[in-house]
Amino acid sequence: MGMRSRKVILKLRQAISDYLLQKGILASPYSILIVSGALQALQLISIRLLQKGSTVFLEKPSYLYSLSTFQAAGMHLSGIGMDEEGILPKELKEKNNKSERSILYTIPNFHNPTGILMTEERRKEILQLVEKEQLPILEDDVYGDLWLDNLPPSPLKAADKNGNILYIGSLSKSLSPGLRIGWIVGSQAVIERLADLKMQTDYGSSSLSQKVAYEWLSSGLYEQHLEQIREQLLIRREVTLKTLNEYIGDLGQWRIPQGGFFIWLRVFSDLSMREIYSRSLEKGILLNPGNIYSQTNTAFQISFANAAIEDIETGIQKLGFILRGEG
Amino acid sequence: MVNNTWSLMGHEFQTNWIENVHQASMSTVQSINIAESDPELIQLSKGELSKEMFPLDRMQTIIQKVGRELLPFGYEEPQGNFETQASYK
Repeated sequence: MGMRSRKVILKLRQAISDYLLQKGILASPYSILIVSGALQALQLISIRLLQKGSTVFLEKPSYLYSLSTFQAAGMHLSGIGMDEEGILPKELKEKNNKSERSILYTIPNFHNPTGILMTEERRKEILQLVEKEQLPILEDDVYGDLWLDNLPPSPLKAADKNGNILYIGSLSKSLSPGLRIGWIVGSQAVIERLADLKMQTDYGSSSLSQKVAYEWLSSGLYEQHLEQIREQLLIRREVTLKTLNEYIGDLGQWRIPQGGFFIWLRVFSDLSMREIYSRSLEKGILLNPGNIYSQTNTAFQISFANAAIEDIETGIQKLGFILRGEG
Repeated sequence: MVNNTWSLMGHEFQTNWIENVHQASMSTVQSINIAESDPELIQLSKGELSKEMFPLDRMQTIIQKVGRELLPFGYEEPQGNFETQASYK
């Protein structure tokens, strides 16, 4: 451990640039901004880039509805329906008024909360539409690394030639939210503006976290870690689906998510979402009701990532009893 | 708790400027955020990998490496860490 002439190559942004290239995104380190998680990315973008009174189109339901980031900055949210292939281009086209300043916020990979993976075909349609409508996109890809069955199609950002898409990634969902490390990718001019606001906000993300993130990404350990996570999530997904079949059965409807860790559970019950939420909580189960994501039909978000497998089984079993009025 | 001007802000006394600052989360979201860290509850919706899946050995190895190779550090570059082959003697 000599002190002489040791070259320190700490290049987190270069490591992220290399990592993005595997996804088909060509981004120089100068067009990347390190942020303290994807939520800070949304904050910076809403404050610095979007105008008061502008519209943010988004999937409905969406995780974004559970935050007040954009509304607090004077924007309003306009929900677009989804089918099993993702957000509906036709509805987006109908609702978009070209004379207004609007953007599209979308989670193409393993959407939060529905788990839906936008198909390649749908991605092409959306890309064509936004080009025609000159609608900028905010692409949230924090679940993309957690694919379970097949590698997802390329991010929308991979097809972006004109800097029309801002892309958000993070280590929070795939490694640890405790690091507080995420990134925004965009055109260099836009990234510099956001970097200026970031400096005014917190003078940069933690040096230690950035060094740790660099080691994970550049050593190949992150890829190895993802492989192990996938194996475990596959087991968890299987057990969860089996338990849903067994205890919810006809009282619910769900899709098998191809990645991420959410199952969107539509339930058929005389009880309201509020009642099911409260009764579950009384039984020691915390469930996110769909209404926090602006879902009006009775639905709940099931995560198969967090609780111990036996607890997931117990929780779903108890939920089944509650839905049958036996709980 | 003693109330002072700060403790009143954003609570009952909503001054005009506070409206422009962040809205409080929906009450359900607030209660979920609190309940999410309750270890007694079965977290059936939480969007975080279980502790069982935390790569503790690798994280320890990496943090030890970062510690061994640590040099003085301070404010970071505006866009985040990108030191190109900085040489130290």
